[in-house]
Amino acid sequence: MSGFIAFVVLGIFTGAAYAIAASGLVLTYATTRVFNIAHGAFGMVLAFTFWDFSVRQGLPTWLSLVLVLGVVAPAIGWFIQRFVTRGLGDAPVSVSLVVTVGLLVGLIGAAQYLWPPESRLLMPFKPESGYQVGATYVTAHQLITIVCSVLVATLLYVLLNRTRVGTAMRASVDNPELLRLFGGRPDRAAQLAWAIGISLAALGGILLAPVVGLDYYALTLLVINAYAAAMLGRLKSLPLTFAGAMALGILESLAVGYLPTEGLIAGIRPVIPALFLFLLLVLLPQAQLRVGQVKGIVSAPVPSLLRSLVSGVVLLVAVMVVTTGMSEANLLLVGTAATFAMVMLSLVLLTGYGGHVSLAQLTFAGVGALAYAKLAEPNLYGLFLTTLIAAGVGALVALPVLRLTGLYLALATLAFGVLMDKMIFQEEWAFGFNGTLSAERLSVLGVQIESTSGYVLVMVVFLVLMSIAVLALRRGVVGRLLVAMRDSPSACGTLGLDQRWFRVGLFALSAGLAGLAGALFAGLRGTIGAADFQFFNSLPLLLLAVVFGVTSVTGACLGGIGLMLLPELQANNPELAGLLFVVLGFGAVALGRDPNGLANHLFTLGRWLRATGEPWVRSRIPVWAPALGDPLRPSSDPSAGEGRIETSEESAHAAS
Amino acid sequence: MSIQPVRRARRARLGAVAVAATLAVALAACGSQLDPETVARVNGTTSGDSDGSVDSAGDFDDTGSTGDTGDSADGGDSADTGDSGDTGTAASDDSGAPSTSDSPEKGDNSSTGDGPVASCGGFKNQTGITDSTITLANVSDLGGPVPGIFESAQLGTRAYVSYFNSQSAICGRKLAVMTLDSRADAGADQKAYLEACDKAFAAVGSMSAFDSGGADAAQSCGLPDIRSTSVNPERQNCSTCFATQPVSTDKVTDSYPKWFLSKYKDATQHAAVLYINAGAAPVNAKSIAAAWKKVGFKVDYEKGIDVAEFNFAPYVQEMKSKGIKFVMYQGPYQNTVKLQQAMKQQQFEPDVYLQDATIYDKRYVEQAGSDGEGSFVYMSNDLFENRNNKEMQLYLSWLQQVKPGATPNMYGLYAWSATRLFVEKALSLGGRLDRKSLIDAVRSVKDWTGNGLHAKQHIGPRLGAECSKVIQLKGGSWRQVSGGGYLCGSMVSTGIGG
Repeated sequence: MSGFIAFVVLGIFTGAAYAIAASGLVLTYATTRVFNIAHGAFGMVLAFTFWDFSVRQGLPTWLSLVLVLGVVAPAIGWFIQRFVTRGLGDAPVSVSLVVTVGLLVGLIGAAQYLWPPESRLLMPFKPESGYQVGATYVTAHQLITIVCSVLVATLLYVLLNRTRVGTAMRASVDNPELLRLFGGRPDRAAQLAWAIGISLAALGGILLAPVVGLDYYALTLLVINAYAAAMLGRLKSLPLTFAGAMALGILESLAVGYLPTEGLIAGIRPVIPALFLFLLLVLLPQAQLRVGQVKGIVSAPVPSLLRSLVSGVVLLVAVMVVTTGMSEANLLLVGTAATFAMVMLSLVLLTGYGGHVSLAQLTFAGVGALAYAKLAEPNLYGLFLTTLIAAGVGALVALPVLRLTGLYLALATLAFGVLMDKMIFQEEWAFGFNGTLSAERLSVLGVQIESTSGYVLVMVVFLVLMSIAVLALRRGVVGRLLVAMRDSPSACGTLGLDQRWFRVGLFALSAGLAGLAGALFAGLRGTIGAADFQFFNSLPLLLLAVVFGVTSVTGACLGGIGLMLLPELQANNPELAGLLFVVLGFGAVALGRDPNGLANHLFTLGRWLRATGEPWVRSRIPVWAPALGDPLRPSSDPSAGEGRIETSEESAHAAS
Repeated sequence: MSIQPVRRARRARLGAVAVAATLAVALAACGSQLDPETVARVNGTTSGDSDGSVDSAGDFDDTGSTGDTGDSADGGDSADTGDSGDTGTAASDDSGAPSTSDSPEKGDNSSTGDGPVASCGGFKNQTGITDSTITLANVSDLGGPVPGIFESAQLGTRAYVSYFNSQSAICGRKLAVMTLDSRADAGADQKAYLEACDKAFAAVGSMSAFDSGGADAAQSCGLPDIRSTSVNPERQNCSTCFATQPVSTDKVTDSYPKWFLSKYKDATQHAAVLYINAGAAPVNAKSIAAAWKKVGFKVDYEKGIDVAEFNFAPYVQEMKSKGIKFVMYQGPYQNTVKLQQAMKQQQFEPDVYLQDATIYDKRYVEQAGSDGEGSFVYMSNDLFENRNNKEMQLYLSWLQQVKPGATPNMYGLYAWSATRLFVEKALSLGGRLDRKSLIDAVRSVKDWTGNGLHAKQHIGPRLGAECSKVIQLKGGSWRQVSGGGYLCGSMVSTGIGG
């Protein structure tokens, strides 16, 4: 019994750390409807700032604390609310998630740039003191953390429920116009919420850094464990969040003591937070549909069938030309870019057309690679089976979360990604622990494609075929259904459309495409392992997809090239590695509100060039001008092109 | 009507104040570019070193494994010592590194060694060899989630090449190092080896946590790969790949376990093996535990600790309740520090804390402080502090030559050894030198000590050393506690990871 109590006591410290992180998360969500995925990243940057003040510059600890918690953190919170997340609560979830993921990546890059990698130490508070509690021992630092978590939870509860300011904060998210009529200031309330939220992130970071270490990733990603706690409180109840955090911490500690060391159950210990999160999401009551708003966006134009075919052939020829005589090493890069482009294409389907955010798309590619390697059928039949298996896994993931939309669905994919990464992929029957599997190159109709250049061309062929299929889907009935469900789920519900099974099908299709990409990648590489599909890399994947345009095939192809180039550029310029992340992250923040991305700007440029250039060409070369004209002109069929969907905001602006 | 401009003005003022405050604070932060050493001196603490670049804390969460090489066998090491950066040599030695001007021109410590030198008749230019240069590739983890983790291996190779080029040439050609970054990623390792196949004559001194990626590429193009350490089975099985610290996961030396049985018998009957759940650490730790059981230990507790774990107290609690007296951990030194802190807080003092040469690192000593006092290390290489080891002094001095302030560590030491092996074999082949003859020559090497840098490693058979030594941290510096040069025993077959 004393052992049990000892483990509970030890788990309370972990729980307290989660509670501080989760409280800040819940505050910003409850008051501005923005789920700040970058919460941990802010905590990390501010922990580094605290180190900078108190260790590098030698300021007294109390002064550093006051500066960080009272000046820098709130200032950053105000700045972020004012210039980055204002109005994000009303935007589609895909936009708000992408912006906060962009912040996460950008902040990691900023920390790497401002404080280049070296050994840094942050001492715990009062390192020599501690207290005996039964059979175990609690340090002063751990006690301070626990006390802070209780204080934070209590004060926040009082703030939100017992003060005018807190009531204004809660009102500003429900109905800002009404609040304004009553003399409240919703913007002020939001800024205050973010200022406090970031300060809490800073507090969490400062308390955790002496224990976790000043590590860019560890501190950032630790907060993911806190999401589960926040879920228990359904992102609005602080007492439940606190309880959830404590429960999680104690569960993790008990797992150390009582789980067996061998076997499948032993592997559960590191994924307890993810399992907790997944279970809570599944058991949550259905979130209310927001009625009365059409969240449409102006999409990229959809090309006609002929245009897509021609573009596909042009791409294939271009790749053939570029890869002639290329070294094996560079061919590998081209193949990798093609893989990423195909995975991003699956995101175009899921996120661009369907409006659902997946934070673990690479994991589905990993499932495909695993299936391909295990099946050991390196031919078209094997590829087909692999795609089916990956689609099946996608359906399995979507099934338990049928009722979920938006944010909760994205978090469910995140939990799935972590589960696969830390548990399933590590199993003996999968990749094995840190293991790799070998995969043979594809043979098409009995001819094995041994050479890398040939294989890369085959990959590009698959990319082109997939693109044409996705575009055909978009042009048809299914595409229109997708867009309608993305824009107004409530209207579709009124019309009698069963969206749940449709969503399962969409997830399955998207996962299947990603799995196919993974299988082709496995063949390219020859040996493939779980480390090639780490869950964290799905985040830059999503960001680049959005930056380049998640609503068009062009965006997916450009994004694939970008994602391939990112680590190469970082490796060639290690001093600028952090800066590249900053550019990517904050670029996504800037462009995230327009999911059409840079590709759309390219299309606009192309249209302008054609508008100005074509008459000039026609007037000078009348002979072949007619051939240049009609077949390539965008179809006038409205079902093929994308009409402008006026959003409620746009019409409101037009009216005012 | 008049309220609006007033409100706007007030808002603008507030905004300006906020911006100004932020700027002021930010400038204060960035403007104070005081050297940490200066700050430390002013504050009255001794810093000892100016922080070098590179190597942040070892682990992180979902970005996957922290390049843990965790080899079993002898010089057994779980990685993450990254390195580079810090000034001075290991633990105690602050009196300056030896000078490169002491380098001998003749004898077995010279850059050419004193082995046979064949005639250069018939020497042909080929891939990686021109009239003036022989290009050697070095593929090591520099970037990636833990920046600079194996930079030491690249520095070790570059150090030897500088040494060699200052004295000699191979058939009139100087050596050049093509530095490639595998970024702790199998795909990047594969790409780097494809490049090496095209542009280099051989790969020397490479070190990567994910060395499986390029194994096939190296074997397919017949590239001789003389590594610092081989980590993954694909690399261990590659026919053209060798390592001066070969690893067979299923073979563990009984030399140091027997020493502990003789000195700390009671503690060995209540042993715990902990490891980080990343990289090759789990399979190596399990193999070591199995070997120890065969030799006579009683391992009562084997547990993997997640990469993201930050609360080690529950694990310590478990060990306390099981009456553990002997603790071994496989993982990065940063986690060792956390584990030992938790042990101290919970007032758990085992008789023996043992780890491989991952913690034989100045940064561990600094960070662990008094918590690390009494820790044991087993390793198959000599101590950096051994001033009587001429080859060691050469490694240390030339390392400072290529990167002043770099920290010596095990991977760099074996990379130096690998480069020496290449040079001596290349010279012995003379005009017959090509990729195939080099591979045959290296395959024939049964015992290699790198001129006394380490115990005999069996390069050709790809078997690790049966000999090791045990050192202990006392008063902030490392001392050998096992007798003689090395303790030698035999290899125990565990059947795990083979």
